Amino acid sequence: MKTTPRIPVGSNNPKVAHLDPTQAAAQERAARAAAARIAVQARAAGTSPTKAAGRTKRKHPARRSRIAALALSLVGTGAMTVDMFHADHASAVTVSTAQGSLKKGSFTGAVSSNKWGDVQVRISVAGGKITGVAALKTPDHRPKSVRINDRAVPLLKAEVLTAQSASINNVSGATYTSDSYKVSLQSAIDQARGVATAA
Amino acid sequence: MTIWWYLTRSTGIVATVLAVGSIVWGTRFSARATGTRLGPNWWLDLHNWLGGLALAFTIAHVAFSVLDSDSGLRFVDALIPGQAKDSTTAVSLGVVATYAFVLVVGTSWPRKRFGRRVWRAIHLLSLPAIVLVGLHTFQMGSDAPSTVLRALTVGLVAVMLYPLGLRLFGLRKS
Repeated sequence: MKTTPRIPVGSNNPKVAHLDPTQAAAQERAARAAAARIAVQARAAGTSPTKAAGRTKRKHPARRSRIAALALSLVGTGAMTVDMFHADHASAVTVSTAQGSLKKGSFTGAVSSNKWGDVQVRISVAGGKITGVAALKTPDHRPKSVRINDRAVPLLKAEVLTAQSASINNVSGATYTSDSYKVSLQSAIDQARGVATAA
Repeated sequence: MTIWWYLTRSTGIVATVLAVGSIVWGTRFSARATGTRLGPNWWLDLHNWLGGLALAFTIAHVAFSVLDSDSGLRFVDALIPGQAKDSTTAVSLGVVATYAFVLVVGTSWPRKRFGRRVWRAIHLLSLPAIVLVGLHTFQMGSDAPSTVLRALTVGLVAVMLYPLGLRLFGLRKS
């Protein structure tokens, strides 16, 4: 919608406030006539009165705030990503298993409980290496837990066989199971290293 | 866990904050409670920008969750509600909320093509959508136990209540 530029009236208009009423009224009339002329020209040209008057309307009045919002969002995303990564890796149970330091046999880790249920892991060791990992207990009270663990346990097992330690990454969407899995695994590895009594 | 998992969570949280910001700015503009220091155009401009950014971060959130191989989420799961095998309800809520935001933001630019009533009805979808986002966040559970996230949720709800009160009960300031 095209509108006529607004002219402040009477004493509200700083440009005419210092003049006597007759002069002020004359100037206001002239300004209104000019504004009306500009509006007619703008309509004819199919543009806005602001553009027709030679002024460029600010396209984005909140330009600086826009940039600040974008920057904050990107920095926030980055900071949270790094924080989540560190939080997960700080809670990871780490252990060094030098080759040959593990005794041969099967070792069952302690039961580790979380809000969804118990997790217990058994490892098989041969030639100083972890050759097999079995999850004896995983949360199974809810169908959702069963589905999550059906997906997570094979991934955790593969990680253990590669890392040969309990220093493994959690599985997305199975944080509780992953943490408990690592605790039980650590317990089994400790037993294999002779730190605790073999099961 | 892959980097995509962390990016999925962080972009989701940032998108929620941006969406709430956009709703707050829009509601204050609509309630004419924009004060005198900054013009209404400034509020409207930032409202539009925050809405667009929220949608961009939501799309990034969806893309990262599909890219995360551990999540088990397929592209089709992110498009069709009820398709995800894990966390079906939570994912479905997120998908529906995303569609609502796409509609709200998508109809903002060609606003004049819609009647005011239609545009307004579509725009108001942002309110149930943000509720769905909250349910999606807490149903997924990955960050639900986090004290920081709970505090953030309380803060966001509090920030939204004031302009909504102004808008709904007509407590116009200017």
